[in-house]
Amino acid sequence: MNSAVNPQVTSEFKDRFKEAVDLKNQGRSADAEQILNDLLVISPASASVHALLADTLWDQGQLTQAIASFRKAVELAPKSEMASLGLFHTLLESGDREGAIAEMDRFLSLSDSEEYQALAQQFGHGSSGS
Amino acid sequence: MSLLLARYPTKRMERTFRCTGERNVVQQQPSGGNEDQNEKNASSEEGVGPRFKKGSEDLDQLEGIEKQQQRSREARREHEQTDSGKDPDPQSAYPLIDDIEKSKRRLKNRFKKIKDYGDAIDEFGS
Repeated sequence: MNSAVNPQVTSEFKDRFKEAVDLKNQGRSADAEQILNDLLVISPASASVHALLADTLWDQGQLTQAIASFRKAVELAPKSEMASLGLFHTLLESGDREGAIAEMDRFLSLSDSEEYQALAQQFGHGSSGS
Repeated sequence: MSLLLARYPTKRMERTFRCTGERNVVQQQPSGGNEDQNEKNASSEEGVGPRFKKGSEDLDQLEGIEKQQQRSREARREHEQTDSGKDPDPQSAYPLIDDIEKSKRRLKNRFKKIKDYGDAIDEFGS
């Protein structure tokens, strides 16, 4: 929705983004990470780039950096379920259960999510964020 | 005479042999005891393989039984907890971990479905 109004997103930007996606899907996470970091220099407020970078870092086991990138993606796109779930799972994986539940509660206070509803039941949490 | 005694021992001698195992020695000597011993050794070495194989099968079976017993214990504990309302045991967290793992896999698959910038915009907005 913002690509049309964001002057930083040129066709070259999109091509580079696709290249990063392809590399990531080929398992070449380090190469994808390099391109995504370059794209962040051009467009630092791109939630897509932050989220994809976060997933790439997660793939490489760089949990702390992945959490930081997912946080940034969540800040930029607070209603994105994928960004939120990414933050939730990486926090949980790092052992920060409270942080993960806080993110689940934050998202459920903004939006509905079947994925989170199911997880909330497992955690003994209500959708109201209790 | 001694050969005769060895072949046809008296009852008293038999009792003594049974206790000491001497009779086996006496009986083996005429027919070449060493060869028999070698054969016995060879056959026991041959038996090592199958015996170990059997052992590993038993071990697998034992492990299977242990796992089943553990599952039963967990199920019983879970049942007791719902009845007693006590603090949940860490063991009961396993189904939760399983669901979290499934959710994580679903998320990873969603990331894999992003093929270009347009797909990413649909998910993240910017």
